[in-house]
Amino acid sequence: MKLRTLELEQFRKFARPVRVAGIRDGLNVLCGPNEFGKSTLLAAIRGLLFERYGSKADPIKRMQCWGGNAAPRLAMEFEVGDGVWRIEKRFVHQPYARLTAPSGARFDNDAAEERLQELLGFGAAGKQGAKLEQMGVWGALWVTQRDSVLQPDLAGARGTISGCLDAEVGVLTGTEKGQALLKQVRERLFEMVDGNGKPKGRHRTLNEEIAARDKTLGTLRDRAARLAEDAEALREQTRRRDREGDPAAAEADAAALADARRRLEAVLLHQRELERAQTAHELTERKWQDALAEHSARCERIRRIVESRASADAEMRAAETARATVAAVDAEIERARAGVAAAQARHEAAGCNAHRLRRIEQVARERQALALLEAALAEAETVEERRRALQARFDAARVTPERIEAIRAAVRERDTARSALDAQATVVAFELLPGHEGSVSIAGEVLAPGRRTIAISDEAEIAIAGIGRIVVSPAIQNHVKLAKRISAAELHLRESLMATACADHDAAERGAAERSAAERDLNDARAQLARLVPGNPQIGLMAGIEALREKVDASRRVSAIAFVETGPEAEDAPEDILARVRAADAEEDAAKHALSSSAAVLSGAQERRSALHETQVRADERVDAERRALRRFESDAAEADAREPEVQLTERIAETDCARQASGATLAALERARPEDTPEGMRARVARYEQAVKDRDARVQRLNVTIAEIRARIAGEGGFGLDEEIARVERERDAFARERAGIAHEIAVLTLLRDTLEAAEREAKERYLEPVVRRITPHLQGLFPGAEIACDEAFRITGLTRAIAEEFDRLSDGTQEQIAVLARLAFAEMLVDRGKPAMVVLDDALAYADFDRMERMFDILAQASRKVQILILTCREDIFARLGGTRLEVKACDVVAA
Amino acid sequence: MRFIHTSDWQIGKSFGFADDAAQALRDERLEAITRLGQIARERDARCVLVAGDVYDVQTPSEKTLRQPIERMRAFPDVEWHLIPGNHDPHTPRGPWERLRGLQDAPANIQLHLTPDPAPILGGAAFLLPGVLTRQHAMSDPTEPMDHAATPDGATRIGLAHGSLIGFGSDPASTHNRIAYDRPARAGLAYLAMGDFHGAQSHGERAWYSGTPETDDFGTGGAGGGDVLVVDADGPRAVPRVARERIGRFAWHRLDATLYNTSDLDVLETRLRELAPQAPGTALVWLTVSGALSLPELDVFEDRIVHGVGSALRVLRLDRAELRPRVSESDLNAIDHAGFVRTAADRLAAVAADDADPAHEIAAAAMQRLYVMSRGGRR
Repeated sequence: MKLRTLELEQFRKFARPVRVAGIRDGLNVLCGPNEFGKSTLLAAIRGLLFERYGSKADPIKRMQCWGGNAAPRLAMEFEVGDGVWRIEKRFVHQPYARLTAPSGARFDNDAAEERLQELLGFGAAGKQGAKLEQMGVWGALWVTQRDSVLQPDLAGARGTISGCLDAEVGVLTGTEKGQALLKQVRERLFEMVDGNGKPKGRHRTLNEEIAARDKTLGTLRDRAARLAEDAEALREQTRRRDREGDPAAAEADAAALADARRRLEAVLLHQRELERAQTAHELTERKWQDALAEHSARCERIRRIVESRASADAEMRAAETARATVAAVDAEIERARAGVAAAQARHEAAGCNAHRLRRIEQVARERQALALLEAALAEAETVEERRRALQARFDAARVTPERIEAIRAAVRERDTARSALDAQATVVAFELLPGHEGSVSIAGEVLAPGRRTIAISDEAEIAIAGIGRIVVSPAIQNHVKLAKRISAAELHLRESLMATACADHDAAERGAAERSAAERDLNDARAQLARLVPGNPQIGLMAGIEALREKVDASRRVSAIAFVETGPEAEDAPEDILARVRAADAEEDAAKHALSSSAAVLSGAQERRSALHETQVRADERVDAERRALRRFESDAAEADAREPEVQLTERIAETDCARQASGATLAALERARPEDTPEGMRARVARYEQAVKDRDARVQRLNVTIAEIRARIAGEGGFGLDEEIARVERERDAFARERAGIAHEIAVLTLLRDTLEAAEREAKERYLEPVVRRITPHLQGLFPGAEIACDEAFRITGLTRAIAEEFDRLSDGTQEQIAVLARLAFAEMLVDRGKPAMVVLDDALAYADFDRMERMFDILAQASRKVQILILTCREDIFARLGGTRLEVKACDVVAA
Repeated sequence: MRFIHTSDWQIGKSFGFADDAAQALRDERLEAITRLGQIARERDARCVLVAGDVYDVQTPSEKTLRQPIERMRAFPDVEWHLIPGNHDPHTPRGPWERLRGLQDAPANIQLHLTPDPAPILGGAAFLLPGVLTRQHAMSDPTEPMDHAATPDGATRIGLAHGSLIGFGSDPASTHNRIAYDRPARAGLAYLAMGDFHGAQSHGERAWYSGTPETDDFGTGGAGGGDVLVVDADGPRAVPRVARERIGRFAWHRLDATLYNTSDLDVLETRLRELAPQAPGTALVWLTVSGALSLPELDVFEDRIVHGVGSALRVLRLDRAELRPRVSESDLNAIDHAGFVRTAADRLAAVAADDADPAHEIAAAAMQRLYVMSRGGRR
């Protein structure tokens, strides 16, 4: 469908007939400010098409012009197929509907409405007025203000769109049946597993039953295993008991015991002989060692005596050397002490001189400062003298600024009033011939011969001698008022002048100038004085000449006293004195340095003496010690020789060596004859066999006890019927397991069925929605390159995938609106492709688009408009100027319809 | 001389696979003892030789232990000779030691727990028992029979439990093996054996009686449920052996190939004809193969699985080889188009692909879809 013209009269804000004409294929833009009536135009189109002409519903009443009761009239021309149709309706009063076909055929009232519904594919409105679901695709494609953000509501359009899709991809059937089947399958599955796939109900009970029986079976089988173990133990213990009780084994054990005892005796005898030989050999060995030791001790002692003698001599020489050196160092110390005393005296003298010179320098600097202060005071006194004179002059001047200003105001007032009077004055020109001097006077003033022009502002009398008088009375407006202003001003001027004692205005101006000059000079003098006596906080001097005078007096007194102390040297220049101070300081430093050098020499000598003395004492001590040791060694040697002379000792060594070798040979022979058995091994064997023989009966008894215990344990465990119990529990468990396997099979079957149905349904939906997605996608990618959308069965866009999948409802308002507009364009294109009437109206849409998006949307709109007629109503003329398309206007026209 | 040969009562057997039928099967093994006593009287054979495995386990409960004893007590005019088997060997705390300790053991029951020969029927013959003292004995329990001393001219009857070497026994098995020529070596008129559950003979003198009440689908031999009535007329006479039916439950292993409704009809008839008057005595292990359409599968479920399955004592079903044969009309019955039809097509494809591990589940899912889409809920 393509809209061509629209006419409105008595419709809402449009009381007078208006017409929108020239609506063309493609893009049409109608711009107007807020409240211009754009939305009213869309309301008119919807009302005209969808509302029943004879309806009394509220929406019809709201059509009426504001504040009036006239009948709203609407008409529209539109193209469907090859020709132009015209629909006209009048509502409320004398309502009618008229549809004119391209052929000229006319349908009136209900027939017109029915034909229109058939032509454009919408339903008849109800008693409450037209609802969205009756508007067919138009409700979705014609977007009212504020609704542009919402996705197209396909309440009335789904059938049409589905029809298009059916024609394109085939009918989506089985949905209802399949849903019912899926529901049934899911319900059946849900009886067995919960939403997380966990068993429930009977399935869960079975798991629990099986687990319980597995546990019981474990216990029972453990019991059976224990019983089997006990049975095996019983068999083993019985076997052992039978073996232990065998008499042949007992005899064999007794024979083995006798043999072991005999072998033990033999090995013990040999062991005793060996021990004796070892003791004898150890004794002879020790005696030989003792003799050798005595010989070694004597050799060692002789060596020590020789060493001690040499050592004592060396130490004695060292002590003597040290003693001689100490005496030399003592003389050195005495010389160093004298040097220190001289250096100390020189240092003290230098210090006194430096202190005295510093005091002189200080006094000299104070005197210098006093001279500067005195000079400053002298200059300040001169300036102060001048300042006083200027102050007197200034104080005498009477023309103050206020007074001169009053005088000037009076002069201005007088001159202003006089100028006003003079401007209206009567100008009288005279030319008195020579020879008639004095013959003519004006206002008492005698005229001189020659030309003269007089402006007369007051009545003036011209007297011509001998002839008479001429009275000139100028006709001046406000003459009296002006004359009064002048005399008042003059009075004021006179009073002001009197106060200044000036004769006139000029004198007053001169007086004022003089006063100003005096003031300026005075200020200069003050400033100069301030500069000369600024004060000096560092020396406690305040600003001002008085403070300076006091400072100079005080300084003079102090300086006089100091001068007496220092003498005439303080009269020298301070810099000279400073040079002398520095020389004295240098002398003091030199003396100090000499003093510390002397002290260091003394201290070094004292330390050396102390060390030498220590060395000498130690050497003396060592001499004593060596002499004591020597005496002890010598007495030991003498004592040993007296006890056993050297010859006897040599003999003793030879004898003991011989005895030692003999006992060693005896021991070696015994070692070679050692038997193979060891006493420990034989003792263990004897003990073992003794124990074996001794314990045999006891062991048989113990085995009998153990066997009885095992039998008792088996009896205690019971165990009769245990296998049957295990079989019974296994039977139960297996029955449950079979039932569970049945359920598992059922779950597998139903899960496969559910998954297959769901997959088939999903694919069917995707295939069915593919044409819608296919049409939206190019536009969408114009807006978001590379993006994809997801649709649900109600053709609603549910998601947008750019970098990631995003839910539609979570997108920004702007993006949602833009996508919603794209969806409308896509639906309209699809309808047009299928030969269905469709066009898009956007009322103040794209309110949220930024510059870039708006540009892209304009591109998309321009592209879509090649196929679909688009009418855009907007208040944003500046922005939509870039869109291009046909500009529409609302123009007044003649009466709408007949 | 006439006697009854039986074995493998296995009192207390669990029948874990049989669910609610298990108790009935267990009970019936006791009833069989009573029927044995009755047959003994009817045939005037006052001696019953039980060739081992009286009990199913070595440690029966007290009740299980006494139940068969009490049944035999009811026939004081019949001698009952019992030996241990591999299920109930004679061990220190086994059932035989316990039976031997019973205070009120009936005099007509003789336990043979050593290989010593014992006279039966007042000395008309001598019984040579083979005694198992372990579940798996490595030696031949009948070997002592060769040297067992009996009076000259006595009729020697062997009674043993084990596998006859080279005749049906597992060649890998090395225990409880009985020499195939034992009757000849030991001069036996008859060797009464137990262990195989279906009656069968090995030569003229060696017989397995089989169990009196069948306990498995794969018993072998005559299938169990029999008792042997033996006439031994002298030490060298060839015994005359008559097999008599005594079992109540019939265990059937059947195969059926199903391709259409008439195959189903035939199968139903076959099953119902197994025991028309007492279908509750039949246990059936049915293996079906072939291919049925979805409606036919529904019929199979309805009439065979649920119908006949409820009539029989046990219907064990192997249906892995029964495939759905999905026709266009079956698929149309589910839906002509739309996603349900797509799902049906897919399930049918998977079900038809034997290589697909999910093909069985897919077949079941397919069948379920068919039933549900027609308003059913199986």
